[in-house]
Amino acid sequence: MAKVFDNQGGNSHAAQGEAHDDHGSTGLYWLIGTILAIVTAIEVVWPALGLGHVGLVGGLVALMILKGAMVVMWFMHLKGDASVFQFVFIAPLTLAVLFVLGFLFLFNGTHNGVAG
Amino acid sequence: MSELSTTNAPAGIGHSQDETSMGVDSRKLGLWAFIGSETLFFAALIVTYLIFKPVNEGRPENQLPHEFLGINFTAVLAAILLASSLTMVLSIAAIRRDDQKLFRIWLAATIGLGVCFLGGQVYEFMHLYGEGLTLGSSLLGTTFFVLTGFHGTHVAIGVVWLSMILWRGLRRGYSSHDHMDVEMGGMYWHFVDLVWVAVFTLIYLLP
Repeated sequence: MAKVFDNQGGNSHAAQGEAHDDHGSTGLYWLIGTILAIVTAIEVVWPALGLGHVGLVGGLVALMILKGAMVVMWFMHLKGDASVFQFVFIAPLTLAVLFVLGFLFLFNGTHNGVAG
Repeated sequence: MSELSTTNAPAGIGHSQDETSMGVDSRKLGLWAFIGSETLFFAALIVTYLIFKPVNEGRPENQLPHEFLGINFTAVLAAILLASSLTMVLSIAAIRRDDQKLFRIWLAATIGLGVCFLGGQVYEFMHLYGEGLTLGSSLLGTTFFVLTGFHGTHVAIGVVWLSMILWRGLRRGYSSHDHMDVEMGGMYWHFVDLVWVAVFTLIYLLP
């Protein structure tokens, strides 16, 4: 028997509307915005902390992922949205993040990389 | 038949014409799929930059990122775009409450911040061109301007899109029951912000 892709959330406009109510209050959005601003400030001063190459790159990547996750989950409302929406976006996003991190690992260093 | 098959599911019984057979809004599903494809598009541009970065540095006529790309000015641009994401989500929250006045104010603020970002990017590009970093001057110039140029183009498209939403909002208005246009414009705008989160770190901050 065929199973409709999404049975857990957002099967109708009404359900989506209810989900939207749960997405967070205005106060939560201000809180997220404040945290994003603070994380951005930390990113700017991070290179000056002198943590070494691994600490510098690892920390900046971690902060970038944190900011991106907050934007996606709360500002784009993917948290609590229909699972088919989550799949359609998170699948390519996961691939993209893996590609970028993989090539960052390969080419961010002292060597010229495969292309060199 | 596959457990995940949707092709033979009853279509539209008891649903509005905008819903797919999965019971979700087809416009929103289409936009999520578009944003997913755009994610891989920008990933390809970022990966291209990362691959050619050491090649550029190994060339005798190279142009190095830290000699041209300033962090402080770009941090302001990042803050502007993040602030625009906040005003965008506040605009959506307002229209969900049927608060027309705040909806228009926050949406207009989002557009204004988007224009500020574009102005800053144009200023940065002109400054870099004046410094000798151009689209064809080096591998850095090529990969940098293609990536940030495409992002800027997306921001410009977002500004036009949100302006059209504001125009309709001023003329006919949206409501808490009819604001899918606003939701979709907001999703696109947040995606543009998301791309800049990655660009800011990977292009400007990383050594």
